[in-house]
Amino acid sequence: MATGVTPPAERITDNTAEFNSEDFFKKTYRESNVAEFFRRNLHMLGYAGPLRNLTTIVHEFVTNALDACEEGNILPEVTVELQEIGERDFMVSVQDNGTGMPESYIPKLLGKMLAGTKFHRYIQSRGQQGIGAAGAIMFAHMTTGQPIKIVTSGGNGTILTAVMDIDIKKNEPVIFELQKAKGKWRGTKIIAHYKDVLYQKSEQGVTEYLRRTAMANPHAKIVLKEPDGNIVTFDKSAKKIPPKPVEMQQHPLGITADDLRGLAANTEARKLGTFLSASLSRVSSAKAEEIAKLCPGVNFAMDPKEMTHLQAETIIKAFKQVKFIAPATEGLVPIGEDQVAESLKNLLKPNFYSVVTRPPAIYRGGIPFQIEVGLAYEGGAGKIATLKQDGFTVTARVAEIMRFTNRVPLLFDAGGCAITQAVKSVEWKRYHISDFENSPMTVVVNFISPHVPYTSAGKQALSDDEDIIQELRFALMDAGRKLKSHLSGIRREQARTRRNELFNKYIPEISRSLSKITKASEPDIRGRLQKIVNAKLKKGDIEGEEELEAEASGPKRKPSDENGPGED
Amino acid sequence: MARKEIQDKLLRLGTDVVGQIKKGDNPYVSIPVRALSNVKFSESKKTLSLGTQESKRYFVNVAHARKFMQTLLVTSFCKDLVEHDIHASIREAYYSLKRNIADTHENTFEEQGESDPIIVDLEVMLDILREQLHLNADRSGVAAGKVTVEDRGDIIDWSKLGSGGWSIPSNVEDIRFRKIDAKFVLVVEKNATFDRLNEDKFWAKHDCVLIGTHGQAARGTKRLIHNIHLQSKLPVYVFTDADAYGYYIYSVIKSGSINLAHASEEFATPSAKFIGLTMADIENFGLQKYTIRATDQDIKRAREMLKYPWFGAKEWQAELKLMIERKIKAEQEALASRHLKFVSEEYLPQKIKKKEFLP
Repeated sequence: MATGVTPPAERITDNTAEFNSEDFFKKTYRESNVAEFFRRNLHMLGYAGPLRNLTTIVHEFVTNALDACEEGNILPEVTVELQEIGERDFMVSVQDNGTGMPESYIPKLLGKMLAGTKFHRYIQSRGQQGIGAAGAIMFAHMTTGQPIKIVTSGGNGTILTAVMDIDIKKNEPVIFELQKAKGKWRGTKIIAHYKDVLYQKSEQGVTEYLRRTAMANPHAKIVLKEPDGNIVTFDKSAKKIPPKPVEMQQHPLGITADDLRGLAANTEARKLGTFLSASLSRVSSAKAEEIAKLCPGVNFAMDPKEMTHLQAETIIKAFKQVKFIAPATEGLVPIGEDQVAESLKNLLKPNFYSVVTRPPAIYRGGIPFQIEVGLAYEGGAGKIATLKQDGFTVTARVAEIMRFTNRVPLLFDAGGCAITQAVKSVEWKRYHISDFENSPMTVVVNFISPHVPYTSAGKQALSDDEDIIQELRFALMDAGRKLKSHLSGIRREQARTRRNELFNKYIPEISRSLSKITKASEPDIRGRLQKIVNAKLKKGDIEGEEELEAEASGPKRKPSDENGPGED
Repeated sequence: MARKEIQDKLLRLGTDVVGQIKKGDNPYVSIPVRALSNVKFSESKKTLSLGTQESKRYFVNVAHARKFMQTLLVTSFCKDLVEHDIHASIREAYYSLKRNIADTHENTFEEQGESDPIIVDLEVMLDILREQLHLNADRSGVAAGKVTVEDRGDIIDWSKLGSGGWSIPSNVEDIRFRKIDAKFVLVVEKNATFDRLNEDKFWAKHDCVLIGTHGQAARGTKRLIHNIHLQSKLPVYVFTDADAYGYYIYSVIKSGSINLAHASEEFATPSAKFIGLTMADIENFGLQKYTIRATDQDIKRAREMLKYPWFGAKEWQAELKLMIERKIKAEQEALASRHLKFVSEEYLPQKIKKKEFLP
């Protein structure tokens, strides 16, 4: 920052370079910092254009809904309703069948954002994109000034209805109305009014977002009521709630100096040395001593809360020189091969599919991750595209890539994503996919990790870490091999049929000619030829393949090599 | 060959195949190989003949099935023609046999280029000419001279047919020669040369039978030259451009061709001689400025012909090598550079008088 002014209390460092005026801080910062922070970081929080705005809003509420249900061990049933009020003007409602919210919890909907803590739980979670429902509520406030409505019940006979807004001055949620009514119902419904949102049935729209969410969450039923009244239902194909991911300790090789200070701020340990072994995985007290020796300038007896950024950096550097056991990977919860398969069958009805869940792996030496891949071929697989063919416009199914991180679909920035890169780097020809881009196929890739390395704050693309790319490729190739064996089976079958056809079609003409030449019985010849062909095919005793190939592909013999010019 | 004999040969082909089918074998027909590798040149007869290599065309063979079907279709069609004593052109044969194969998007024949070779296959297999199978090739070729022929009861005097001459039919099997009043037969490649010589009444002044082939001689024309020679024993001189294509036209008239090697006895005229144009003519008749640059294709062709045994004579080897070395060719019409009647009044009489022929 040019003036060297650091905003008080919160370390809003990276994204506030513009508002560096002292004047501004004195007069307005304290009063409107939340709103201002939000407005200035809109694009990084998933609010970047009307189409994406709507997708982000739905994403935030649906993620909350799925989490709420799973938390209560309930198979999620989520209904999203979009009502068009005017141009770029929508009522959005999202309803789940979860355990409902107790009265005291309602204001915490805004929790994360207002609390301003930077501490993230180190756990595989959906909530790594955006800043949660709080952002979605803030966006409603910004675009329409309208409060949001929450209806919730734990199924105990009381239904709570609350109307809630944000008091920008106090940075606090305000509940205007709170009604209690009798009724037998369980779940939570949030209704909010938005402008600057656009509904489109595109690859980046709400419908596609929900379809893909259903793909990665086969245990959830998702219903979308579209603005035109059309209802799209994605049924569940699995009846098991996935196990809860386990919170993990961070591995020393997977964290930054900033992360380390974040951890220190929340530790109960009183000495730096004990903090390291208590808060990080694979750091024994012996390892902590080894690290201490590598950092002569840092006092390992100091209060970890007093660790400066520079000291944290020294320690992180030391980590790289120490040998640690690889991090534990038990905390990762993949969708699972069976469930991905069910999902593919349920949503795409492909003719062929293959699924691979790779064993967990590590990137940057210390961060566990796991890759899942599903390939669906023909049937309903692939996206419908309009193509020009021989001057005609035709629609055909072409390849589509569905990217997920921790079961959350990534719809934007496909080009800059390691997943896209990896898919395109695979030599699909080896797996009997001769022209990948134009093949009717869907590639599903789920990246699972407690820490997802996004390329940017937009959180829509995976960065191209070497370890991750390699693992992605392995997973895709495994799945490709499986698909190939399906496809070659089918191709053999097709070749056999074609060959049957090749001879059978000539039998009538041959029989008729022979009968005309010799007066022999036509049906008799026909029957006998059929038997000869069948016997040959059965024995696999078919000749001429090489000759045919040589004719088709070999260099055509110039007539002049063998025959005179112009001979008849 | 009697009609009965031809019918028997067609029937035998059919019964052979039916016999294989009844035995439960994969049915086939045997076809002598029509390729350079299976062509023999007889130094003594000066004609080409087909060797003994045969290929078998099977039904249950991915590469053969379609041609096997087509062979039987053509056989059956020819049997019909001979039985009912009807004649058809090879184009008519194609249209008669072309039809959709049931339940497919495929036709029995897609183009005449498919049926023509099958017809030749059948000729070779049965050792019968297509004319005897009642199939006629396209015709081209004209004749003039003091010759009288009988064609289906009509008496035709070739000396009274004006500027056009007598158009040689595709099938000359039934042409009878009533009178041949000539000292030699002159065969010319180009229509234009024929017209020039006909207008100049060359055939009257020099007592010859004049035949124009219009490029590569059609079967009817080759057969006619063969027949005239057979009957009259007149010497046959061939006059073409000085290029590989022209020389090859001469060789086909004289010795037969690879495609028709099986029928050289019927088509070739081994005593034929080449009158011109030769490389030497270019100098001798002052045509140096009227030559054309030989194309790569011409040179390539000439190199191939160097290897053909029927171009083995030292004169031809020298001629071809000279052409390759000088990379030039010359057209018959180049002689008009001297004056229009140069060809009829000076070039040809001089060449014949001096007996300047290539063998």
